[in-house]
Amino acid sequence: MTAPYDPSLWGSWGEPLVHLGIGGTFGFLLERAGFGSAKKLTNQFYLNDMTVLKVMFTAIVTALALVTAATTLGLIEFDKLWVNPTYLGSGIVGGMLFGVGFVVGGYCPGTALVAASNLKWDGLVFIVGVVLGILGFGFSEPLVDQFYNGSGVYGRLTLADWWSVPLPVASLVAVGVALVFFAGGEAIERWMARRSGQPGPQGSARAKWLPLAAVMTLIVGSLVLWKPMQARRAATLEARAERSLRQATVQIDPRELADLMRDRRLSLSVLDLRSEQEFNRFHLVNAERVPLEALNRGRRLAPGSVTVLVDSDERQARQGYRQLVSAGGAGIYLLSGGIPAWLALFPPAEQRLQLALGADHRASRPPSSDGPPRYHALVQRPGMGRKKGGGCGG
Amino acid sequence: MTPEAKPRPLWNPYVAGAALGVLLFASFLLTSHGLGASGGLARLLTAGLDILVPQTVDRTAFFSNFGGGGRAPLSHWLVWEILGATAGGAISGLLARRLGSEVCRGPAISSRLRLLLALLGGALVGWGTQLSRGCTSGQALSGGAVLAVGSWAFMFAVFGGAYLVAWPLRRLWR
Repeated sequence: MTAPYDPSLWGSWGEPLVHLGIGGTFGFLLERAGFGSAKKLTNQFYLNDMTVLKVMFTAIVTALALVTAATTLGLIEFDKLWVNPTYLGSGIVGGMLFGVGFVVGGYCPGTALVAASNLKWDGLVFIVGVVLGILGFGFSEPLVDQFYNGSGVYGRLTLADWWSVPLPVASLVAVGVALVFFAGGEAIERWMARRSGQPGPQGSARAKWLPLAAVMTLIVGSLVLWKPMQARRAATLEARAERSLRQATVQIDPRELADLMRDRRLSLSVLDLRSEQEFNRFHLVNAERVPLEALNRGRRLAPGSVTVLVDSDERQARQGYRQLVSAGGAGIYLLSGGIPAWLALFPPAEQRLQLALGADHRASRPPSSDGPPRYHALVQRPGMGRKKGGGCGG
Repeated sequence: MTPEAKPRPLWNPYVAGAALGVLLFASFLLTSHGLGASGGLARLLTAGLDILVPQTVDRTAFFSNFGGGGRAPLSHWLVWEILGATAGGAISGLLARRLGSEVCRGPAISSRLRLLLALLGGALVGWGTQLSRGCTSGQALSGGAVLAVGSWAFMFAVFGGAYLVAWPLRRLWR
């Protein structure tokens, strides 16, 4: 089974314990780096000790290199990792306020916890301040709501997505940035030490080469292996797609699609692959017209969502299914028999099909439910117990 | 000063950073998400409010996300993580002989002023973390390691904001 593992896998005690362990190590390492002291932290902003910069960027590129290598080798599914959604405006303004507060208060939240637990009273008071700040945000949120939720919203967006490059290429750029910062930081430290006549911070600059060599090995290795590994992965997935199509485990009955369309808990996309003309004459409500060639372009399927491909005779839908599945998509289905099968079950007023009515037909909407399903259900839905049969168990 | 009382040296920043990076990767591997701190504090706060003024929690959109209705604000990984971080920090400080009652401050200001500024700075940071949806742990470090565009922007904004005021406020620390 590929990582990341589902935390619920760890059981009711395992999950808290795993996080206690991760948190404990986190606090331990922050303290070891010297981050339990506001003086050490704020030195960063007075240029004589660049420890914050060094620790942060070493941590980022180390984790990044490991994530990149694990993704390349197929040990981890990058799409399942939590990537902070991008809100540029509120992120930048919040970040700048945070930076000001950092200089005034001497800590950030994680380091203040460590300071407080080491009986640094300023750390404890800082945490009280943070809690008050959060309280203030809770009540003032309606005032800034539009900016908070609506300024530069890009959702899940990585540098690799933004530049349309493979992950290892973007990782390499990030390591380049870190290298520049390390060299610059060390040069500034030397310059400040000369100017003040005091010794610079302890800790040899040579210590960076071992982690950086490991990071570079992982990323360059990923760069070399990326294409062949992606091709191998695509071939495996393609074979899986063929098997599903042959065994007819993804061709869903129109009545099942109607049920999916009625299910409000479900995140469903209906992608219509037919021509614009056919689409304009008739399509299902909330369907999106996507030409086959554009199917994979910039499409990211949310985890747990269901996508149903629709066309006029299944031929394009099968092709689209192969494309999406080979690209790593999950939860993809196609409408068995296409639109004609739907219309045969839910017939529209005939002459109106000549007009470009789009989804304004009665038949565009799923008819109201008429009792228990009379088809073989293929789609696993949330809240639908596996193999539980019909009936209402509560 | 007796040799026993002298704190042990800090780890080399590059070594501490690499160890932190391995931990961050382990977190992604085991739990699909990175590290966090400010979110845990938001949940502790909500739990407190839920006891004192439950109606306010239900009526305020922001707090109801964490503790509205039947939601338990404390049953969340972030709460475990900040408890762990607090304990881990204390253990490390104890072993390295850095644990001890103290107010960390610049040479030019009194302890009382330092505490007042810690409260003020903390409040700014607290408000800021919520606007930016995360702090240096949950946003900069964790998002940075999976190349989230917003996290990198946040990180540069933090350094930008800090450098902007560091020189005018140098009396606090120099």
